[in-house]
Amino acid sequence: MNVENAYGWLLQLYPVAFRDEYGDEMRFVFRRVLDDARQQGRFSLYRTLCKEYFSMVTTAFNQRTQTALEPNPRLRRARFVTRGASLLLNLFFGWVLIRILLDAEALYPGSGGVWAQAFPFLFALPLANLMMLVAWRWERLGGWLTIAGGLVVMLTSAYSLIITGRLMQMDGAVMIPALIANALWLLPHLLFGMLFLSFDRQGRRVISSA
Amino acid sequence: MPNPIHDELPLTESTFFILLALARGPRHGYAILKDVTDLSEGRVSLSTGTLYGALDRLLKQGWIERLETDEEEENGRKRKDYFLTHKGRVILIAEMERMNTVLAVARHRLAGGNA
Repeated sequence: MNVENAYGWLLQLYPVAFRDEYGDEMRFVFRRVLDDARQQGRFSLYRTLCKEYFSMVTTAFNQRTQTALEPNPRLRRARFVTRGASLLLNLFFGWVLIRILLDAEALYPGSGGVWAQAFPFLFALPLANLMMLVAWRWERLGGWLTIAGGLVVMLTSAYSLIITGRLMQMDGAVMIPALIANALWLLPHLLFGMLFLSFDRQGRRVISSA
Repeated sequence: MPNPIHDELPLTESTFFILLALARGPRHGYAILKDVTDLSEGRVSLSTGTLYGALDRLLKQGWIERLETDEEEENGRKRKDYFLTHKGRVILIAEMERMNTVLAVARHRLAGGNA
């Protein structure tokens, strides 16, 4: 990774709205500043790099503090509540996972273990939940990944139903509700993903109207 | 009656030089950075992060504005220039007057006056 890529990567330290607004310009200016420093010798280059990186950390911290005190209290409150709720949901899903692992035989009777049937689901669920936490930091990316994660959870849950043969054992009256219940796996991730995407859009609007 | 402009003063040195750099017309980020270093004779050397933090604050305060130009940067995006608003110019002039007053008092005192 060269110094310019590292700078681009470190821009992640800034709040997303600030980064979207000035990130490209900052990268451009940083490149020009580095070119100037290179012409003045190695010592100047190192000094400039130290100054730029150090200042980046401190100014990013300042920007984050300002964002935390942003003038839109409703947006701030909504973010806080959503993050708290997503954390609770994560804990709940964690408990569900532990329960599946500990009571595999009860939940999948006669399966002889949970791995072959539920492995994709057991892998997808924590991953989708992790994406919700990613959205705390990168709302747009995390929002889309959370929705995608929800889809994968739903599909892997359906896969588990089919591979264990439980779906085939059901009669028509039970099969439809079971499929609907399976589709519900998508809902929490869809809801939280959309909320994070909406915060991202509103955050941009606040910056561009300032 | 209190003057709201005076509540904004004194300006920090970097804010003062950024506004001064824009006093002659619109500038893009890198040009502001160079101008600030030149105007301050090297005493104020802003980093990229400090510059954009300050520009963001000045934009929110309405002292400067941002304009997309027809010129393109290396990445193909339109270059953005910053320019001083009327409010920004008023603040800059008020700061210069404040510094003049301070200087006049100091000179008078050093010359042996009683003010």
